[in-house]
Amino acid sequence: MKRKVYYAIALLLAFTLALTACAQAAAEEPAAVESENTQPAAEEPVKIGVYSVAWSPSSINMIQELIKKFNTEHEGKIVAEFVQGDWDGAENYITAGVAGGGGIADVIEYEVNGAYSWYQQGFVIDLSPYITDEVKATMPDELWEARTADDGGVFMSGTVTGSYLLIYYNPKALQAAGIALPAEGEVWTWQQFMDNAKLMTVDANGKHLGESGFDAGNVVQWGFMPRLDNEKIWEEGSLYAMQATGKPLIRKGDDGKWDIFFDDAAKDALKYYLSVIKEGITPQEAIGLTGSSQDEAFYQGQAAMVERDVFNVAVLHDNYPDFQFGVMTIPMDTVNTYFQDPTNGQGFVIPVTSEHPAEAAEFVFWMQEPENQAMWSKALTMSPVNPKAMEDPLIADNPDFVAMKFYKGIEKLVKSEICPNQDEFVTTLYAPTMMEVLMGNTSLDDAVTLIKATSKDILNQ
Amino acid sequence: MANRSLFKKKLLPYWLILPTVIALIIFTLYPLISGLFYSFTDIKFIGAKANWVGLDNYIALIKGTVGSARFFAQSFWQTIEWTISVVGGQFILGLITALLLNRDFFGKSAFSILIMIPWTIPSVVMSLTWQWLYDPFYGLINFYLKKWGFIEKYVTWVGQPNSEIWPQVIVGIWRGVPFMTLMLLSGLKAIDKELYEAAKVDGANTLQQFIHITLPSLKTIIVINLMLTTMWWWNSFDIQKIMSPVNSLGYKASTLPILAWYESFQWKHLGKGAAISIISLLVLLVIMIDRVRQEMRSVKE
Repeated sequence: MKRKVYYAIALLLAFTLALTACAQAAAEEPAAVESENTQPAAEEPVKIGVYSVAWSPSSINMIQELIKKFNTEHEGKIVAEFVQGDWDGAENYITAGVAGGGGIADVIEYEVNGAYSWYQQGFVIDLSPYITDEVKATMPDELWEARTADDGGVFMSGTVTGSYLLIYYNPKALQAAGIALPAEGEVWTWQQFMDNAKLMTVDANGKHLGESGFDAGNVVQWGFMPRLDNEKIWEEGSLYAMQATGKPLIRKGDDGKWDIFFDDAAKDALKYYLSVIKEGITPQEAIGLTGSSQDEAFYQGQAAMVERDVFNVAVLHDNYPDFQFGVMTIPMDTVNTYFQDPTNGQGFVIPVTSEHPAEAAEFVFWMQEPENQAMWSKALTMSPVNPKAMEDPLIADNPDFVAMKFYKGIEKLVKSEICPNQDEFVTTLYAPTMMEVLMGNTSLDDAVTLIKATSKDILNQ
Repeated sequence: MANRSLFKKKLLPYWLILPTVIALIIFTLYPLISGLFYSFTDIKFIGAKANWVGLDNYIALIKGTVGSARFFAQSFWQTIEWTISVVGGQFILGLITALLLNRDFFGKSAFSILIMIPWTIPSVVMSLTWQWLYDPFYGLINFYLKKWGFIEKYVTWVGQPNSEIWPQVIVGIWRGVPFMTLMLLSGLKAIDKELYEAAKVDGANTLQQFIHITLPSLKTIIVINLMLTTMWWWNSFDIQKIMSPVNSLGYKASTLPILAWYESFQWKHLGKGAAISIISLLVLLVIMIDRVRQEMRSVKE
């Protein structure tokens, strides 16, 4: 027994010695090569990971193409590698990466408000040291401000500005209802929009809403099918309200406290928006409708008009290449100005764990150059942060960008401060209450009174 | 030498369980204790400053009328409704399936494989598939119900404030039946066949055999099963989260884990989120400890 133990120990020692010897030889080998070669070894290019939240096929292809272009232009210096991310997972990705001290990409794509929160939590670096005058000129001051924290730190670069809401229409449905296709830059008033939607709400006998004998229980084509869930009721409702008043719904009052302000013009816009089911132009099923279901209803002809962000143009092209549709601006009673919140955009951040922040910054600001901006914006059908990109043929001659160009022509950037408790306020009070208005269970006035009663308590907790 | 060997032998079990103990400390005890601590603080997210606020989070949840507190009581009762419905449904269907599989019939092997499918599908994929099945316009459920004349108009099954909880309960039942079946089937296989033969000789019919032999023999396994599944489905998150629209608090499928998630990660109120989780845990513990105690007593007897 004892002998066996000795043999085992001896074998183990021999094995360890052999391993050590091999390791030593391996370690000495490069030194020998180096001594033979008097020239210093060529520097390896720096590798950086780029975490992108691109999700549609065209945008995934484009970001990969852009990364390839970047690598070609920076050959021998920087190699960017694509990391497929997703909107829902980005927060966990950076949180886990920072907590774990690394192992994540050097560049992460996200949206401005979320990135601001990351900066406050110390997850991302201040980009200021990398912003030269040349870089500064690639984005309007308002967009830089929206990406600058109270301490002066720039927490994010820019890729695209906030999305624009569009009305997507089926030209066949408009023509069948005898409605002229909207001309470039034409904007319908809310009343026009509702009237046209009624004309396009058609039953199985071909009668439209309002016509005698119309069968409301057998509608085959709805005039308007927005997505009406708690999130959209806030996002889109507040956007309509902002267009009517030029101010964000949630802002600080004279007393310096956060509150929600329902001016008369805001209430008028909300009244129209929240009456679509009651007016009969939208089915009850639009409540809780998913994006893909809405797209399908639009494609199949069950919806003559839908309301979606501008990025959905690219998604529809990807998913339904044969589908002919048009886009126009949202209904507005005052069309002098389109108020856009610059804090709604997207861009790139560099996490504090990055070992190559300078090279990462090189990539994020390279993406702000006009040509790259145009390529990226075209794939997303979203507005580039660099105004010069709008002149690029990829965008300038592109019919998908007509409505967006109109918006940009009348755009005014109005920065809204972000209330830290806004999400909770929206989820627990605003959205459920407005949902009751939408379903016809309460009036808008009563809903406003109810919301105002406790809004300050939640927003300022 | 003999003493050393005895000492080694005595220590061996401790060495063997050491990795498990370490894992339990890191992955269970530490999160539990830190969660308990956070629930008495105003911490916003992990790594942020935590100020001691005593019972404020608990009081705000139970007494409060603003923010998530508006939905606390509702979510609490909905968690109970959800758990009872899902676990109850799983038990009834699982028992029927197990009884079926305990008999010989043509196609038994194929049926056994089919019945296990829901258990093998990742829960996210499963929830998304069911969401599509329930889709008001393009879901197969509406399509066939309309085609066969059961409904005149398409129905929105999930995702609306007034949508009932049971379409999601069906998904939960569908998901959990395979596990319940397996456990009960293993219990059925262990019952001595002679008991049934003796009962038959005494003139007991099938129902009497089921009530007086099968159920009592399965009692321990049923209790363990129900305890396990109650814990799992009380804490269920993915089905409700995926099958409901964003920000759908107050909907009927919104339960305590959903509320805790919103508080902790969506609104960055980790302290309050931890308080919700601790309350949820305490309720579960009260139910479980009582059950375990009763079970231990019956085993001793």
